[in-house]
Amino acid sequence: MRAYLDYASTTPLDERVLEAMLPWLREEFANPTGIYSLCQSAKRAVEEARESVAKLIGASSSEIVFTSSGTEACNLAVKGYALANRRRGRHIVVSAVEHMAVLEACRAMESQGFSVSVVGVDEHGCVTPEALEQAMSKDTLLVAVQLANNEIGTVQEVAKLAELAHEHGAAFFCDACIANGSIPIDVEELDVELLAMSAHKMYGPKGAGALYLAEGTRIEPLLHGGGQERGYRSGTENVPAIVGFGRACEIAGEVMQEEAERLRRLRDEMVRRVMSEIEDVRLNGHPERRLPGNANFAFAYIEGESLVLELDFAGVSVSTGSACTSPTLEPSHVLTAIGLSKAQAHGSLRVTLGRFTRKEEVEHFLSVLPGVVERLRKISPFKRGGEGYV
Amino acid sequence: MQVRAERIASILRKAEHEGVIEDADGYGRAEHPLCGDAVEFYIKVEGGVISRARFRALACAAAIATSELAAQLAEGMRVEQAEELSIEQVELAAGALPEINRCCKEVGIRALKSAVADYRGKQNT
Repeated sequence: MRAYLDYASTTPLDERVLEAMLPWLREEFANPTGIYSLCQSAKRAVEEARESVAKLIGASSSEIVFTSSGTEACNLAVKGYALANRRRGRHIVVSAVEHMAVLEACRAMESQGFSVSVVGVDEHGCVTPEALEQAMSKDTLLVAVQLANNEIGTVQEVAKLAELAHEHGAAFFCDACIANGSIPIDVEELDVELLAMSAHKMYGPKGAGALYLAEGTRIEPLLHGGGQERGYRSGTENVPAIVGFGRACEIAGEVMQEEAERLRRLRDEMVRRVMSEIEDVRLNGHPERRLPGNANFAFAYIEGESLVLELDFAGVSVSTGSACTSPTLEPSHVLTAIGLSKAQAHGSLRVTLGRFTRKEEVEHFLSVLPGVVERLRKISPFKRGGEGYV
Repeated sequence: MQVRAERIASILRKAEHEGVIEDADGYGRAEHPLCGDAVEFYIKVEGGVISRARFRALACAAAIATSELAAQLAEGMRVEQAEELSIEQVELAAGALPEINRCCKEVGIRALKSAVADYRGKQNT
């Protein structure tokens, strides 16, 4: 049996999304920029998708810019906003638990004359208003805090944080790539200027992302060319992927609430059993305020990469924030930001459920996990009370 | 060409050298300088030949797999030969390992050599 429990990494394409995309991969191949009817048909499809993406987050379709990915949307938000508004300030504030697409985009602006402050988080991964307040300065131009974390699932109180940023005259960018489609988003309520989304995290295809750009918000494009996407993102539109993204948003709007309730029940039961059946394990992230399908554990005395591979041999696909899986051999910056020691981060395991997760898959995971953990602990030289463990 | 997980998996599935030797003649430990992976080796020596080798590891699968290969190779080896053991020798005997961090491949071998050094130290006292 194969249990795919890595939905935070990417989601399978929903069949309904694939159906919507197929004509645009076959006969409807024309370039939406042209003026003849085939092109206009493609143009209409892109605009309908734009409306669907906008509707899911309570935006107007004129506020949506399609990109090639969530990473591009994050880069466009950070760099595009900073470059277009540099006369108003040269300081960027970013949370320590952002996706690397946001952290690295911010760091890249340091070579452009910007300074960057990284705000730490509490033990659950939350950015507190107090911590944000301390990081703000008169020169702060932009604050970037995600809506939810892709590793530990913690959902931030973005509306509160955005209000604080605005009190200091700064704009707010929210990376919602992992949250969109899982929890409701209303950009009016959040009151953010910029918000990034990604199709493949919500049962859409890879190769499509979007940036919400609140009316009146100015950004510089990163890609120059034919002036597509109102000049904010040149390049021929990826029509099939954009259509798929739009369909994915429509479906999410229809099923999100029911799906979230089902996933929350499934996830909570899974967490309860892992915590009760295995010793010396902790749950990372916020106990309640977290994405419905997310669980992130730290198993003491073992290493996450070998845990992931052993689980893979047993037919379970999950992921880890262990240093051994990172090219720099550093543990996940999110896990260290919430205070985990290097040793604790070593044994981290992210298990994320989604739309097509069946109870049997979770049962299969739960049936093989204790044996795998026991085997790895048996060969581990570390024991309770050892270095790095409480 | 086998991908990383398959090659490592085939070694791990046949692993027979995980464990501890209570009355070991030599004990050694090594850690990966960056990620903190740790491997411990235990050896039993008879007439200058390593008769048993066992290891424990908190490490990535690649490090566990190379520790297993090092243990397989060490058994039957004279201690002087074990002192000279290299990752190239392990790969020559077991087949090329996937492209993985060299430190991950070597941490087990370093632990084995540390156990040999421990044995040598005891002989000299």
